[in-house]
Amino acid sequence: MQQSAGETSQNTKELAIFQVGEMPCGLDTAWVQEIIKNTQITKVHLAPDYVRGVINLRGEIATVIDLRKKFSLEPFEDDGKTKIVVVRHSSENIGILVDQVRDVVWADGKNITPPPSNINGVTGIFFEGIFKMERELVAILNIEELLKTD
Amino acid sequence: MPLIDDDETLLAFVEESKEHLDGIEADLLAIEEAGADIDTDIVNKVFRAVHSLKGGAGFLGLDKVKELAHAAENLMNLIRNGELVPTPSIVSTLLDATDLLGNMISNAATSNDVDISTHIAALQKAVAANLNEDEKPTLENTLTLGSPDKPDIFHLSEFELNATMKGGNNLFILEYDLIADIEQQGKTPLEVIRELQQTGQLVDSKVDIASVGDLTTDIEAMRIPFFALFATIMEADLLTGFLGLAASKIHAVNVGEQTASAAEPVHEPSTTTNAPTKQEPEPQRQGEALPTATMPPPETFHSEEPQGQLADHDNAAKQATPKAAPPLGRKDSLQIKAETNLRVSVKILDNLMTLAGELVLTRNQLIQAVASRNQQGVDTVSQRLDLVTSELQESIMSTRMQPIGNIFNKFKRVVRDLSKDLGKEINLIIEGEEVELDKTIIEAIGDPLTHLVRNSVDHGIEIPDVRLSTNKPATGLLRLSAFHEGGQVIIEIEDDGAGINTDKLKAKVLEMGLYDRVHLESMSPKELNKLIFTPGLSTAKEVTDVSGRGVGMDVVHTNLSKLGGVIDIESTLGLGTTVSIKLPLTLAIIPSLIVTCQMERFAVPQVNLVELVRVPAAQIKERIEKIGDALVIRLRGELLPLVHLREALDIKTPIYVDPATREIKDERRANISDPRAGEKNRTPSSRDELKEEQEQFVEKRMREDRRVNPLSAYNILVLASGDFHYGLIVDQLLDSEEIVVKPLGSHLRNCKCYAGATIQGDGKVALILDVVGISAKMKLNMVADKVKAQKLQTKEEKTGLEDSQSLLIVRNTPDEQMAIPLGLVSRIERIKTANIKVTAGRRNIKYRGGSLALFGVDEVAGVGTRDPGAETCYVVVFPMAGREVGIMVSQIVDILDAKLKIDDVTHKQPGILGSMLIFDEITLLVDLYGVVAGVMPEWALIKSQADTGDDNKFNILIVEDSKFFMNQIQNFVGEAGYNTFTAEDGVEALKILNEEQIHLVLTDIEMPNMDGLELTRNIRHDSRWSSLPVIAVTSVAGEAAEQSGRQAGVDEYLIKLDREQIIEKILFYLKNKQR
Repeated sequence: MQQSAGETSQNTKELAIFQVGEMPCGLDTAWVQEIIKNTQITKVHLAPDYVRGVINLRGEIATVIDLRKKFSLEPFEDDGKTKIVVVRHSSENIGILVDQVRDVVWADGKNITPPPSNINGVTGIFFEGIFKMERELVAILNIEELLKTD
Repeated sequence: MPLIDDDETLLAFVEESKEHLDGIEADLLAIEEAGADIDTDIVNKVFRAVHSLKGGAGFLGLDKVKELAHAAENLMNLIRNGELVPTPSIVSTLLDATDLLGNMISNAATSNDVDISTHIAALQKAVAANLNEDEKPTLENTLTLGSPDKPDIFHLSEFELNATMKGGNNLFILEYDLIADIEQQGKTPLEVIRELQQTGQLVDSKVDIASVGDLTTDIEAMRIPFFALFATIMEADLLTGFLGLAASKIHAVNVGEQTASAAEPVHEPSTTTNAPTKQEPEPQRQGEALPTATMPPPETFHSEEPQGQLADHDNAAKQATPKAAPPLGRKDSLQIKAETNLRVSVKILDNLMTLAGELVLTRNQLIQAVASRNQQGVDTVSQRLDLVTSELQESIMSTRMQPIGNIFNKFKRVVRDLSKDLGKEINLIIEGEEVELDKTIIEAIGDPLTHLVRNSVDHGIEIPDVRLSTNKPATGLLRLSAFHEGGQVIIEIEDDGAGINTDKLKAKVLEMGLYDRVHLESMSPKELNKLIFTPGLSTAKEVTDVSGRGVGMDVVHTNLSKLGGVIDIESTLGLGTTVSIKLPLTLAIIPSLIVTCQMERFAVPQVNLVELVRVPAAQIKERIEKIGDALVIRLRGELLPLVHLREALDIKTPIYVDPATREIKDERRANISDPRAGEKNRTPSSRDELKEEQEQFVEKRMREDRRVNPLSAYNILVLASGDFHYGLIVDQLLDSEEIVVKPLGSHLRNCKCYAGATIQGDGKVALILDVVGISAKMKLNMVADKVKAQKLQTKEEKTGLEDSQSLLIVRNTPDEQMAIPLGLVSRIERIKTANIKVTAGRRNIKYRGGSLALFGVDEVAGVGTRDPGAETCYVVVFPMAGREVGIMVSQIVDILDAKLKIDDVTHKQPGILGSMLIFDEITLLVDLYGVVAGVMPEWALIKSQADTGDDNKFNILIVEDSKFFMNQIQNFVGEAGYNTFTAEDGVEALKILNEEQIHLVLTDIEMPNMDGLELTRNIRHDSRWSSLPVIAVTSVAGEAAEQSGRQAGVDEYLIKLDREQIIEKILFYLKNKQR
């Protein structure tokens, strides 16, 4: 159901909007388990560079992916607004580190267009589409691609 | 026919059937083995199992399963009645059928699509082959049975009917209504089936969905008829009472004299049911007598009819309940669910319940204590909580424990099939099936074990001709055993086959260029055998042919290592191979040591931990060396590869904790007190550079031998990684903890240095280090090899053997130093003196669930007294007289290897063996047994020879060059009631052996003229003494030393001064005189 998000983009869907660097990103809330504060992240040496570390998510270990690293953006100091968006993907919980969580909006399918080949220098394969909000454009994340393991 | 839309029933059935089938395999093999000598119990068991399967399957609409089970049952029935001898081919047919049944049941949802015709045909052929000519047609006659209002319910062959009726059974058709008779009575259908099977034989059963009606049917009148064809010795009237079924629902099927037999409802005379008769085997007459009997050609009997049924019921189902056919996805999930169920004994559940109750109570107490700020209360409750949690943990773990027999028994079949294919005769012996292991481990070792067993059968054990030509019995022996040892489980796979041909293996390894010749020559046979685990070697096909073993052995090795298992292999060419696997009991909760590196916490599993070594800054120079560009540490004469955890984890920006202020600073500061300063102006960009720095660091240390802050000492964990040990440098050692292992996410799968993660008491995550992974990443095995090569060179250079002893240096008072032989010590614990209790004048402390008796050296010997005001003290724990006792000291100074020049005159007294000079200080050698014996003389009583009841004293020869040890050993051996003879070296010993009647030899290893190994070899080569027990006593314990000792022919390898062990072993070997 979630995998077929691309097909159903004709219809309305609920997007969680958050900020990664200068870029507003959206994620279909169907993926989102919860959004938590940036808790103590344990660094994992030797891990791929986009893995920020692991956290204790109520007794389970969740990997935290740093979106800035994934998008090759400058690292960012936690200013207290940093949040971890927890998604459920292939039966494990994965945290996505974002600068700030802004809003949850309903997106009409007709306002969603396919992604360009790159957005602000970030390759387009990480995105499913672009959602036109009133004043800005939101890049809808392609979770499958983002969480692909090498 | 659709599945009955009842998940629970199906699940219960699937699970129960799997259990049945698991047992069947082993039982069938046992039946085969027994041959004509039929064990009725086992046959009955299999019969019942197949039978229950059939009953359940029929009820659930798994028609093909039912049919197959039915055919198998017919065959079993013949065996049961002794009409058929279970030959291997018959058993094979049955095994094939049960295999298929297992598959079908695992995939219950699609079982009706499986083609079973070949299996059925095979089973029928086996049945037919055994019948008399006149009985054969009965196989092909299909009879139809039914109740008055539904004459066409069951179809079965006359043969089956005849079989059923044997033994004076009455046949009934029972008509249940699933709704009124079962559901509303609070029963489940499976219960009813079981009930029936207890009282008789359920021949067939069927749910009549066609008569359910459709949605328009009045719900009150709705009924789901369930027919059972039931054979029992009970009479009809008894049955009504017994089954709780109305008499009108029980129809007796009369089979007997009356040709026009009928099934009549009990007490109701008007019936029209048709039944066949035994006396009329001819098809034609059958047809006449039984108007509704059908006679399909035999080959279509099993295929056509069920298909028709299938279609029928499909339609019916659609009519009755539109949702009757569950969507495919649901079926799949159903299956997964079925596999993850676990059976737990009610006893354990009850125990868990009690503990849960206790936990709740404790929580309440805790809340109360916290609310009232009652500190003492909190302390008490926390103790209680500790206790309850441990017990709860233990109980829950026990639910996960499963007997290893679950796996072992599968090998009966594997070995049988494989040996048959290969034309070998193999006797499989299984021992220790009851040993329990965690479920996850049981599941994970299946494949590696299969591999090893296959290897033994395939390459180990020879074909009978070859065996006979080498004077071995034609039947090979394969022993699978499991037992507990030291908190671990050991699994052994032993065969008496050809063994590993190490010469060929060596040649292959040379050819592949994996090792050079010099290296290979230096390898012990054990190491050579382990070559088969070398990756790369195994994939080469030729090696399999040449060496006998190897395919995928490296995979076996890796898989077992992942489980925390250690694999060992012993093999003698021509005599056989033994592979032993050491496994932890569980993986979910493991004891581990928490360490820090760069202020981050890591957990190291205790299984891998051999010892902890702290190298003070002042000693780094002597202890840490370099071979090539790799660091090694010298530990009791052995060199171990050494690696810094920081390097292993590629931490590129090291931080540095200031020893004085404990401030965390960047490591690359230009501070004078940091020995690494000065060269740190460039950024290390690669590991090589870091390594280089490390070397420079060590070199620098070597140059500047100055006092450095104690915090700059090296904390080294000595870890076991496969077949070698290595040292891991960490910053700090924190505590040992039981940790719960959690898996890491998929993005971290490629980090081989971690075995998982755990959550600490403070909620933070700590990573668990993978000891094997780290050594693989840092290629430490190469270093270990180099170390070995170097050792080989230096061995010759070393002249004059030293008799050195590992000693634990302790103090009671600052100015008096004492030493304890380390080999005798089990553990060292630090305790709070406040926890010491005095009971009946004896000091003791609560320890690991029991109490540990405590003694002070000062209680016996005239040494300084421990400061009684000190908050903590150390307890040196050692075993004595079958229990553990502790000796208290105030300070642990060091552990070192010292050459012993013991003065056993000046300071000798009870509790003190003598004295020596260590660090230019007079050090008293503590007699642990003497101390305890001084206080508790009765504990020290040595089992004397008296209990052998032999008047002739045994003569024991003690060979020892050190006068001190000679005196010690001679004393306690004499005390135990043996005659002692003494010799100072091997040459002298041989002389005495020639002259005297010696029953046992106790020998030191390192001696002038002729050492203990040489002596042992001499003894073994002489036929007069080939069975003379030889016990080596040594101060240098170690696997390598022990290995060479055993190779020389030593029976036992013991530590000097461990007199309990020595006495015990002497007694053991004298009692079992022959080796």
